[in-house]
Amino acid sequence: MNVPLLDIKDLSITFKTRQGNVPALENISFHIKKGETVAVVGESGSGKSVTAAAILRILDKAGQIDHGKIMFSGMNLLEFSERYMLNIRGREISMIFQNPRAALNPIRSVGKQIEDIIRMHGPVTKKNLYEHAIAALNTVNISSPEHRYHQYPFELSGGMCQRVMIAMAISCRPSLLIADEPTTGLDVTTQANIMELIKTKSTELHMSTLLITHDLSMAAQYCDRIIVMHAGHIVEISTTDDLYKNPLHPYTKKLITATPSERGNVDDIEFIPGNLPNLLTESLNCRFSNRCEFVDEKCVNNKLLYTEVSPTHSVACWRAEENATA
Amino acid sequence: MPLLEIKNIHKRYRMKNQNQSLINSLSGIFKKNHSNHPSLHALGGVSFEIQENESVGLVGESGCGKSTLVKAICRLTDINEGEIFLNGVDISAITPNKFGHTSHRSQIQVVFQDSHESLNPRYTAFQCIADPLKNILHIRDKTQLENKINELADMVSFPRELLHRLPHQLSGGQKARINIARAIAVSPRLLILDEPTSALDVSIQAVILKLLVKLRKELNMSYLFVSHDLNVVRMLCDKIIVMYMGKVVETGDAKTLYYKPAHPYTNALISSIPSINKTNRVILDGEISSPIDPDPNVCRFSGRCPKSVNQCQIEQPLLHEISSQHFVACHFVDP
Repeated sequence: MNVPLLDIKDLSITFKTRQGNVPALENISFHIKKGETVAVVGESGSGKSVTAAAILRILDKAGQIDHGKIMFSGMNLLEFSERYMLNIRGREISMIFQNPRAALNPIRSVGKQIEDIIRMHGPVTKKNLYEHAIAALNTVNISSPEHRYHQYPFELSGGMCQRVMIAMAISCRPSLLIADEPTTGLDVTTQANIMELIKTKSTELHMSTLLITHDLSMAAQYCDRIIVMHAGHIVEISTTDDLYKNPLHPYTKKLITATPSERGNVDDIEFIPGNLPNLLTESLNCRFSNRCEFVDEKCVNNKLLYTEVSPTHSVACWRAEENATA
Repeated sequence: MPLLEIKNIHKRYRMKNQNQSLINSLSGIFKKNHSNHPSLHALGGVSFEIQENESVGLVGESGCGKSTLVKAICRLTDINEGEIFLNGVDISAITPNKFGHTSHRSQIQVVFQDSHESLNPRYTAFQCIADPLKNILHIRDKTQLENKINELADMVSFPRELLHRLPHQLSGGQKARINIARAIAVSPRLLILDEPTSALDVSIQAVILKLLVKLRKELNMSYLFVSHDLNVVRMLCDKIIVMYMGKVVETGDAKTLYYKPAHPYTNALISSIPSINKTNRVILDGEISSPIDPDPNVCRFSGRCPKSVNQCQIEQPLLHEISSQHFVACHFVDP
């Protein structure tokens, strides 16, 4: 039983563009255990969503998987045929997208859309479909589901649309739920509602959750472990508490100080100097080296190395050991 | 004399009559306005002041009337009732069409929400900043214009060599800087910032926030900072106004309001902010009641309020002072 639910090994993805090849992901490795909630945190352009798309095999055609494995309960998803993947998507792994209004079909009532996914995956008779859809709406605490069933996405508020998305995603009881920035564009109060809902549902159904977000404090509140990404590299993986108490990568440290917190003034927040490297033209061993204040020759000349500080905490920085002892 | 004083402003949007039956069922039998048209009450009697060189934060959920209030203040929309005083002059009497031609326009400037959408896609960064200089300050001299724009670019740390670029060639942070430069070009007394950082990454957000703090010190402006991120508002503002469905529910000193919120809605807002060390959270259930012809005698928050009782259904709570400069509109808060 020690096989992790999802195990990504050395995944590299290159996007072919007219200007040249962009190595969007380079040697990504991480795993998610059963029932675990893991967050991927990073700035826009760091490769968070590409990772999610790769897991579901819904990458853009320009994106090419160079090498690596995506093991899902012991099977390599990359070896499956497109046809077989249809059985995986929605049933085993499902995804909540960033903008629910854009992700839902605008000319089909939400009830019908939920029915579609149930019909696709479950042995459900036509008669029972309606009941299943209503039940799905009920599980996500939508009031008067019989009325909502007939409504279209534009008639629902943003938070309500996201609830419908969640209802669709969990209707077939997947073992892995990928939530790609599920609360951008929603109010803080709605955000709290949606995140609580995702959390209670994942414990109820024993789902693992991969939460993709740029908000470190949200990741900290809801997730067991955090993966910090920067420009297509994983820079740090750690349990949430450990990451906050003892951040080892300079990027993680900067990210924590840049996030406005409950206490502290404007003077306390720090920004991260520089921009993400242009992956089209620059090939760097450590992609943070341009922005890092501790950079030295070692960082520039040697290949990136992951140091395991503890079994649950690894970091991609040459100075990790130094920082850990300091 | 306060820089800006708003007295009891109301804004109602009339709605089409076609859904009469549905609207009637929503608004009940308490409809008081005489016309047949139902109306959406975006602002229901908002009053506050902004002092010279003060930074005021305005928070609330989407749909609570923040943006309508912004539009009303900078005279992009007419209001139904109430007065807006800028330096003692009632500007609510000037129609939105004429306001642009008065000298007041340069006093109030806005940095709009989406920094990409609010820049003309066919204007270069240079032209974007030049526009208000030409139209409001009537600067025609080319070298003078160029000097001024270079100076502004330096002020917001926008690289001069990128001034000839079009908005789509700039990054999110750079576009935000252009928006700020454009707004401060005419040296306004009041700068309204409508969620200036909502679309930015944390690292860029931090840079922009620092820039805003620096500019306020240098130019002695007042800020009206509209946001839903209470952490940011607390850092930047002296005073916070919390709105709910077109009404001010709580206002007070930033620190008092953040650490000792009195209104149940403010409390819920603050406890909704994600954080690593948060224990007892208030989660708001229920749905927002309809803003179309709301019952004037019912507290607008009562449908979602954890404390709601019968009194809230009969009497709308009014703002009352509970400690110095701290006003709350709730039956449950005593002075």
